[in-house]
Amino acid sequence: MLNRRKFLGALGAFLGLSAGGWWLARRLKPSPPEEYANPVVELIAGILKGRLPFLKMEGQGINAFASDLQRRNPGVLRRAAQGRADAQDWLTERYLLSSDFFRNGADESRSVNYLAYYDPYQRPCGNPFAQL
Amino acid sequence: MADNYDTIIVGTGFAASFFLAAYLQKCSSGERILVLERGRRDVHAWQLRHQRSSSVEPSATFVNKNPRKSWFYTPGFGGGSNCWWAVTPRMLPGDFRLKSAHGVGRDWPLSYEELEEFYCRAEDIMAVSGPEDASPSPRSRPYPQPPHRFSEPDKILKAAYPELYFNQPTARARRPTARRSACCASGVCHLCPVDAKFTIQNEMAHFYQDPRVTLELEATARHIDIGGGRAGGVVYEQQGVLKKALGNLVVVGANALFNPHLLMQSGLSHPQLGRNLHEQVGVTATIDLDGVENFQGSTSITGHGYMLYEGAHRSQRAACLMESWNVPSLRLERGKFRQRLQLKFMVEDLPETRNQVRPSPEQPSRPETLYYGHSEYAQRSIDKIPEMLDGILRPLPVEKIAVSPKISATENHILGTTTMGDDPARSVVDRHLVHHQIRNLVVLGSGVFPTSSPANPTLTLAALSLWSAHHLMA
Repeated sequence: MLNRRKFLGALGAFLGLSAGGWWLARRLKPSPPEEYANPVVELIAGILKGRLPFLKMEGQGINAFASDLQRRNPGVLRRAAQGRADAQDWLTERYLLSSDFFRNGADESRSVNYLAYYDPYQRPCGNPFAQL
Repeated sequence: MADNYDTIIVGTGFAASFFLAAYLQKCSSGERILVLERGRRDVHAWQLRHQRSSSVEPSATFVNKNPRKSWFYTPGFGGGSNCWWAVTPRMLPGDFRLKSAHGVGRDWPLSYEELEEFYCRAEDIMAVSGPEDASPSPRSRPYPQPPHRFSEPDKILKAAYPELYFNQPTARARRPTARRSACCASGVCHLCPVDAKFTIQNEMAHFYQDPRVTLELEATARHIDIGGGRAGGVVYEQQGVLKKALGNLVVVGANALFNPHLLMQSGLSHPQLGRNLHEQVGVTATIDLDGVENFQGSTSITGHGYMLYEGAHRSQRAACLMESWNVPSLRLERGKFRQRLQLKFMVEDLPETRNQVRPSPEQPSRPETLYYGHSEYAQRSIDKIPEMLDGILRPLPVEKIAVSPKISATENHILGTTTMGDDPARSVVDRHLVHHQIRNLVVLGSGVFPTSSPANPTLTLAALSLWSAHHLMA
């Protein structure tokens, strides 16, 4: 029978070991400059950084983009996860159109910030290139 | 108990609505017109909310025996106008004389010159935006709206080919109309977020509110009553109940799948009825440019190139209309994001009798498509595109040309199953779209096209509806 003292002891040991494990894992495998919320975000970050290695993309924005992409275009995300190049290109393009990159004149020296998911049905007339 | 009408029209898409518009101008104030629409009235707000153009799934309404070939249409009030991209080129004069000029296909039973006035009227109704400086086809008056803005690659091609490259004529509004906002290049024209493209719902719905018109929705025409060489009315199904309407004139304006099916279900037969099912064949190409930025245009497709259209080659291979796409399609390379051009080639097809629509043997109430493929004539042109592009694009600083090996699944055009012609033995309807044998039966739409031309068919089929109504009421 587990008494109260033993239970608290076991809980403390579990928490201590977990925290130690997490600290050790971080030491052995440093996280990227940004922290990603889950494996889906890591996947998307990997695709973006693989295709746009010359751009500085802030991590929080990638988190937000991944969340929006999952909600708005889950099919694309599924195909991208399967390694489909066309889907990976599409989501990369969508990220750039959703960011301030083109608003800043496609200046590759500036950090790229996610603004809002590029979706003509959510934000009509948001084409950054069209001269109307 | 049957209801009595003067005229019964089947369908509410382009063909039926343009006919109705012209018919109402000429008919008497006491005329009674019944319009039957198989679908519902899914308004634009509904379409935006559900991200689809119809509450009825089109593929469930017919049997497709070739899953590799798609046919698409919108069942519902306004028909194909709900989902079209609003591309409105005219056919060229030579398209009407393919047989006599090039020895292939068929001639149309009317000339470009005869249809020109009706092209103008259709363009006025749609408030078409088109080129101001010149036009690939002769015009008696300017386009109702100014052209959309070119992209930079368009400008270079226009300078190199002043007589062969033009702003695309389109019913995506350049300027706001009373009922539509201006196009802002969202690039999702199948369902415009700002309702800028012409649709029957936004520009022609008022014709259906005319007191002479009774519109019945969810009413599927089952057959036309034919006896003594005349059409006497239409039997239709509404909410599971068969109903009958009597009329002195029956006008069939569904589409090129359902028009021949309805005629066949009504006991009519003809060696050409349901035959010659075809549409244009679409091929795309991606061009990487060196130093030229793209996508500045003010609408989704900005340029039309006629370099592969007219010429002696049409005796051997199909004409081709080139579209320059302005929807952002980025090149994921450092410093070259916008240095890319997407082209689409619309290749005409020669109709072949082996491709057809017939009542499904298993489910006769539904049409069945038997499609074996496009013509060799079209394929020879498709095969030539990579070679021809090298020369055509010489004015542009091209880094790389990649022509897609895939053919588009469909162009959303359905053509050729109720062919028009002067010879009753070789055609279903005459030059005014009146059935050769049943003289109070009119068959509208792109099913009457004897040949496809590479031009998108909608403006021509709308003009033909105006032409037909004009001659019927003369």
